[in-house]
Amino acid sequence: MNKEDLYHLRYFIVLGVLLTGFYIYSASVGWKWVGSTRTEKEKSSTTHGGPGSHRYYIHK
Amino acid sequence: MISQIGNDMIPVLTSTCPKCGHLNEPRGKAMTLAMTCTKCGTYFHRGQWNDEEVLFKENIKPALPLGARGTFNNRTYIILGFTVKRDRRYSYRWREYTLFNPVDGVAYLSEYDGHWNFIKPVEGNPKGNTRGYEFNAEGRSFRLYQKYKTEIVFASGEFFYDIFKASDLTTTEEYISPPILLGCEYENKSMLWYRGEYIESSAVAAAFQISKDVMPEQSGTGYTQPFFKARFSDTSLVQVTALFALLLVGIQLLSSNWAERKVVYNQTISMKDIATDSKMISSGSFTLSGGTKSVLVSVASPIDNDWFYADFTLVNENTGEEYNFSQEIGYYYGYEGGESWSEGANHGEAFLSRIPAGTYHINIYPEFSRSNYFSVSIVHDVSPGMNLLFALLILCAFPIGYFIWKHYRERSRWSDSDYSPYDA
Repeated sequence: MNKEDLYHLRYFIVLGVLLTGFYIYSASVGWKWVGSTRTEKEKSSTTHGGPGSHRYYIHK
Repeated sequence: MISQIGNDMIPVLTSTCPKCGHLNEPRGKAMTLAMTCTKCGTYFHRGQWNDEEVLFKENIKPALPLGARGTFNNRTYIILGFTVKRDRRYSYRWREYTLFNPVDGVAYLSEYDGHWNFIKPVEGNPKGNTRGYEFNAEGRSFRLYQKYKTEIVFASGEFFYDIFKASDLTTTEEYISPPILLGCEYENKSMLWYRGEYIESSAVAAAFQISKDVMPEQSGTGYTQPFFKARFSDTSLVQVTALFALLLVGIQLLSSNWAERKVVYNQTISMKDIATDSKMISSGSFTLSGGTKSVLVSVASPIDNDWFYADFTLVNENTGEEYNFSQEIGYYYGYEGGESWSEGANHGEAFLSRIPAGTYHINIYPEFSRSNYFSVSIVHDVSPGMNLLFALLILCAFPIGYFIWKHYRERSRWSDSDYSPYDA
């Protein structure tokens, strides 16, 4: 591996650096790229125990 | 013939054509030892009038005119000679231009099927004592591509040696590691190595400031033609890929090691625990700390040829954000056609990515078939190990694709060689 080879591989090296960076980020936030469970996200104005809560909860 | 100048006996090589008597003016001055007459085209040795003068049967016009000046590597060369050579065994032809620079000396441009190589003699023996078809030099692996003896078909211009004698006596071996070639011309007592490098036709035209339209049409794959404009060795590509792969594996090991895998909820729930009106059950509050992380929800039920289904809502009590998801498990087995079969499992997992820190609870809306209880566990901060597989696939996509593509292109390149590594 010499400097000229590294120069000509620069785009691949940039890909490797970006991939590694994204991999570290994913590991730090627990982001599973494939096979993560699909969730539907909602914003509720009535959180558990909050004012206006009309849900009935049984705690286990 | 030796001419005399003044009173001193200074040998001067004459440039008068022995055939037509035309006085030629060689650009290479005293270095020119053989040339063709600019008037009648006869090839002759300066100072040696004998039977070796040659009048060619063909008159071939060079694509690059004699006397043209071109710049390569910041050196300006003048074209002194042009030869058309033929392989004595296979009869294919190529063209060579002899270039000269007063400081750098002689160089050559060879052209075959519109593919060009810029060639310069080198000192020493790059192959050393290595035997066989392969050797390493310049950090690259070179392999013998062709071995031949040449025949001069046509020549014009000036030459620093007798090209006919050289072609008669010498055998040439050319080793390639595209875009580089290392060639060796040898006879019994001498050996001359040269180094060539592929050069684009457009670059040759630009060097001589001539139109690309007059350049020979390109066809096929040049034997030193790089497949990419980017030039790197296979070893370097493998090394860089391996470096990143090791880095990713190392990061995965560290992240798996550092992942907390904290069980924040673990409960077995029976049907009678479910509120009859809402048909749901809610966990108590639990805290997910340490920033945004993953959450793994595992469900298990003692199902037997049965299924279990539940909707879940993970509620962030701080922000009101709700994450709705479902989980279905089924386990079936039987005996059919003399064989036992089974499918599914009595447990399943839901992996939730990027769940922010906060205080949460989870609402569960189960649907039972025949079983009457199930268990749920919630684990915070689980390392998504499968990412490593996909990262490695992304990383290796280019090298794998490159090597597959290169394999087929290399087969094509070596198909004209007697020394192809692809031949059994």
